[in-house]
Amino acid sequence: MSQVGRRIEKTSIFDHYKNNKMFFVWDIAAIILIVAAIVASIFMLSGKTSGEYVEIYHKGNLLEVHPLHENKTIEIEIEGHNTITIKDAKVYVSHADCPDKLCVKSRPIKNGGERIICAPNGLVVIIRSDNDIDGITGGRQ
Amino acid sequence: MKKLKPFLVILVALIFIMSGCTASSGENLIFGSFYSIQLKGVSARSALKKIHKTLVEIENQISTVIETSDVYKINQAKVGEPVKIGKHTLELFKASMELYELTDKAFNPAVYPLVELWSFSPDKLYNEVEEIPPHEDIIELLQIAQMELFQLDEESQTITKSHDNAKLDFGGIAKGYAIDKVKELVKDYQALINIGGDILPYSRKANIGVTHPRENGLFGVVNLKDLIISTSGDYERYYIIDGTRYSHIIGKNGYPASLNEFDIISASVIGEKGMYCDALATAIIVSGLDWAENIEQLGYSALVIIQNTTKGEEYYNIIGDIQFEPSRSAYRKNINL
Repeated sequence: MSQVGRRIEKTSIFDHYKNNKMFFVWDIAAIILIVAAIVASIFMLSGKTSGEYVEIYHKGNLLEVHPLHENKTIEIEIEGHNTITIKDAKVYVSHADCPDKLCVKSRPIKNGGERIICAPNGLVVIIRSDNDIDGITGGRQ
Repeated sequence: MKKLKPFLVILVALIFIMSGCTASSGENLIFGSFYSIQLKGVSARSALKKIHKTLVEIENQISTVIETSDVYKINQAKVGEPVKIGKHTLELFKASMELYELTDKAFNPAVYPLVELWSFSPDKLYNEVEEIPPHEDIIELLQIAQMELFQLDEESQTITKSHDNAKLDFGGIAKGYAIDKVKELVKDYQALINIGGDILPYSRKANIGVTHPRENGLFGVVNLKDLIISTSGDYERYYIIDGTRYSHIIGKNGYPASLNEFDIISASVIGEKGMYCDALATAIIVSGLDWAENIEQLGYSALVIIQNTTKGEEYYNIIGDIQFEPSRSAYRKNINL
């Protein structure tokens, strides 16, 4: 055992860090990174809200999130105009300026995973819920 | 502490790599519908970009409305005028020919002139339809609703028509084809691929809801792994005139399918190849339950929903091997989860 080794055994842990600043800096950096990664993972895994909510996308980008159980009317104006209504835990497109109006004719949605699409205006409205199934096959898509 | 340092660095690296491994396409658009893809694996984001590029490439070749697409050009072409086609159009045309024969012409991409006549083509979807087309027009267009009117020259990669008004639409097979192509790009990932309701859970299990053809919500839930599910139904695009529902799936007689009591109104086909699932689902709706039983020999399974218009009820039948829970239990399960 070297002299250095014996000296460390006799000193306190704080003295050790004082004598070895580089190691101390890396420790702190590692701890910060771990905490950041854990917080980020929890944030990513937990999603944005609990319960049932309505997500509105434009061409893959999430525009807005609203609770399913709060009656409200949402106006979206990007490529065109769509009015999305959330009423009594159901969602429907009450008005749109798209040519085919398929979104307005779509049945109201209420279950997790159900969607309404307005392809001409690039919009997708989807309900997310804690008990989400993984996907829905069939429907006016 | 010093001994721990390498482990800490590895741990940090692992946590960062793992949190960077999951990627989602969000709710995106393709083929006039949506697509949604979730990937788990290394470089998931760049894989998603490749997938999007491929999907757009397919759409640009086979759209009936994009004026530079192969299919648009074929549909506008005159007799004897060869139209140069891309690899996706070529593959889809060959597969369509095979499935046209296999389904005894129930799956028929050449039925497009009738789809237009019945106002189900994308350019006519916004029309309010008040009366059905005259019978004579239907009979006339039936003559040109034949794949035999299109000739493929593989060497020059061209398609030539033998009737001016013959038209193609790969809409009944495009989503399935797209899933097959995406599957090739996600071999190293765990993935959930959903292209307009055609779904593939790859290297993972998934509970897939089947849309109720007559009510809001789900008819039931199918449990699936590494297989594709594709559904066709008379409720996807339709209009009602004098109490009769006319759907976008055109039968061999030129009229919409599912018009009669005890007709199939929804068919979900499960199997290895998306193109087959897609085309077989349409063929089952057109050809009925007796024919549907043939798909088992091809290695495919189906959940078919049949209407009883007198009673206003629907009941289902399973062909092959499917893990299916009908809606009551499915809802209960959903709520209790």
